[in-house]
Amino acid sequence: MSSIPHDHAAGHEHAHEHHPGGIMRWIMTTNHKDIGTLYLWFSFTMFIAGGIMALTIRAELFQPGLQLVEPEFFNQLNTVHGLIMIFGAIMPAAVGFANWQVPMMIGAPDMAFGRLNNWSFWLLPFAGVLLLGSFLAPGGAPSAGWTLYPPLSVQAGMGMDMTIFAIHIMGASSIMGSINIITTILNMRAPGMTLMKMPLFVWTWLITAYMLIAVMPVLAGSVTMLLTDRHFGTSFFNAAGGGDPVLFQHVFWFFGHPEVYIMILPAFGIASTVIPAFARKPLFGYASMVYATASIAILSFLVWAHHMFTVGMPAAGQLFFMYATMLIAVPTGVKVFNWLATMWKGSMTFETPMLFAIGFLFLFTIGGFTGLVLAIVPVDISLHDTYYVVAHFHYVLVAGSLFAFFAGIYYWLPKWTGRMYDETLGKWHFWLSFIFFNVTFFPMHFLGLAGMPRRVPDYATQFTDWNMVASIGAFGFGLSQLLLLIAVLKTIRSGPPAPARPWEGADTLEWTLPSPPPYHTFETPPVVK
Amino acid sequence: MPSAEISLPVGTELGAEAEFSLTSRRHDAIGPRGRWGLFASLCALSLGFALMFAARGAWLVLPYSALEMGVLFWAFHRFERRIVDWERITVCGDRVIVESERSGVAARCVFNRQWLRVELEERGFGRPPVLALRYAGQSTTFGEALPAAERIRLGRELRRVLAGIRLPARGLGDG
Repeated sequence: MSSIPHDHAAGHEHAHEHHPGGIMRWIMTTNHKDIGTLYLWFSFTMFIAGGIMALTIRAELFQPGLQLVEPEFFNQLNTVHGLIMIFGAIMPAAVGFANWQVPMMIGAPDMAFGRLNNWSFWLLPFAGVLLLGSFLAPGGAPSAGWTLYPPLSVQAGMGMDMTIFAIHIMGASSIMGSINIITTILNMRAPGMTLMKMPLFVWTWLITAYMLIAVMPVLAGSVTMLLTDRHFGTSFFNAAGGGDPVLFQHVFWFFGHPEVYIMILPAFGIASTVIPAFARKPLFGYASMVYATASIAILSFLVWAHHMFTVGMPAAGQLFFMYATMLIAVPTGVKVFNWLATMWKGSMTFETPMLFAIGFLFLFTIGGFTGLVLAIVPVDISLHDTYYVVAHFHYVLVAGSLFAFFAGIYYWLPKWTGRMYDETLGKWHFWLSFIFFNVTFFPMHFLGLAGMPRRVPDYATQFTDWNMVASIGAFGFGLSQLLLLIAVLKTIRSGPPAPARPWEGADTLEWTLPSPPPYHTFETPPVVK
Repeated sequence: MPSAEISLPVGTELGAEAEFSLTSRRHDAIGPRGRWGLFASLCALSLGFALMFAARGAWLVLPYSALEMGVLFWAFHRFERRIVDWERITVCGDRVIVESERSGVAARCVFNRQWLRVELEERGFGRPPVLALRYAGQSTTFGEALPAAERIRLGRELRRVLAGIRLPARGLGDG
């Protein structure tokens, strides 16, 4: 027999890395790592933009009365903050992680469709500009809340059309990204990597992509119907023409609730990767984690109306959605138990990724419990549209998704850049974020329980103290995020060289590659045994 | 957790009598049944949701759902068309035979071993170099399913074989 000589190093030789430098590299790239980097930087930019809006909101709420912004502008900030953080920050960050990690973790050379991947990303900046540009439109940005409920959204100005267009573009980007991820995971796994050998991060993304494909047409349809109600004389949701505004809520939340899991499942995947690495133990109950993820995804399609308990629905409907929502606690509890069991008697160390993963676990569990509280119909009717709900979903999405993403950034940064980050800086970032997050959002539970409504620029004086605390916490949390930027830039510029596997407990395929990995990953597919 | 070992591309094998023979085809991790099963489940889910909303009056979900399933069908179909393609290069005596089947079209080129040129042609950004085989105005390419580095190595290897240099003892499948 003859041979093509090869070895590990030769398998990743850099010969013929024929890609242009400068801006054209980033505009034309079809490389999964370049596109992953673009997604992550775009996400961080949007995170800062949405964060500035959040700080303006908190500054206005520092004390009762109107200080800084007009009520109309306050509502616009609230709306665009939500849209930017969901569609511009969290989702693109998750796709950025998928782009970087999925091919490396399954032993594929790249994503299945390189050009589609490029388009998926480059649609986003245009959508981001449209969304932010809506502030400059006559009438300003939409002020109906990120849920865009009619009749406010039907009556709003041109900014709403820009937002609808931006949502369409972001939805198209998500769908293309999902198709690419599904095709890559299912078709391009290395020989021997069966579905039940895939790292959990890949599993969570496979399920997330499946969910995105299932619900994105629902979002696209709902905002298109808003658009036709606004401009083309239809009356899907316009009560004046015989339409039903509650139908919009059903359609929207049929997308919106799975969307919550779309944002959290990749975070679960990151936590399931980081915790075993720093506990130096295999993930406890791998198969049950996969089944729990799938169960959460299935249940997420059955609970949408728990967002609508106050619109009026039959008692049977309330009971169904209440119990279905509570049922989600079972697979979620399995996950939390498995993460804890993974750490149990592990040889744990507490580097920054692990700190963020534990922070995620602790705070997400609090968010999960408050979700259970809100699932109880009579309690929800009392707490609906109060700050309790704001506290709940920020515990899930900031301390849940965002903290897990921070864990992922610190965990994979040595692989991505080939350099180690500054551990001290990372730990400062964690502790300040952890403390200020709780200072910001924990008092919101008290505010909500005391009856403070959400989406108001002014409030009764009895809520002043906790609002002041929350605002101070918000500024602390916002400023703490600059540490992440400093840590990442410092790593890229002057971090000490990272070995191929800086974490001794890390055992997924990407750690068999050099740090940073070659431009074309796994030129020769690995064989998984 | 998975462990890794570097090996040769899947589907790479050698002919027994030929001095050098290499068949290349893409790796298909799921197979057509799994792929179209998944597509059917997504169709059922997405179109099911859309029809449910259409029945309640929100029919504009339906065209988006259909469009999305169309794009997914295109993606899977395109992948599947490429998955059945194969190429084989054989060096046998004074002949080099390149056979291929792409999108159901079979092709066969026979070159004179002594006069054959093996060239790596750079293409545009984002596209791996192509391995071109040329002889007296006739040319073909090889290695569409191989990653860039494998094409480069195969080019080197072919040049060595054509020059009559003996190959190392280790076999292609030994990786």
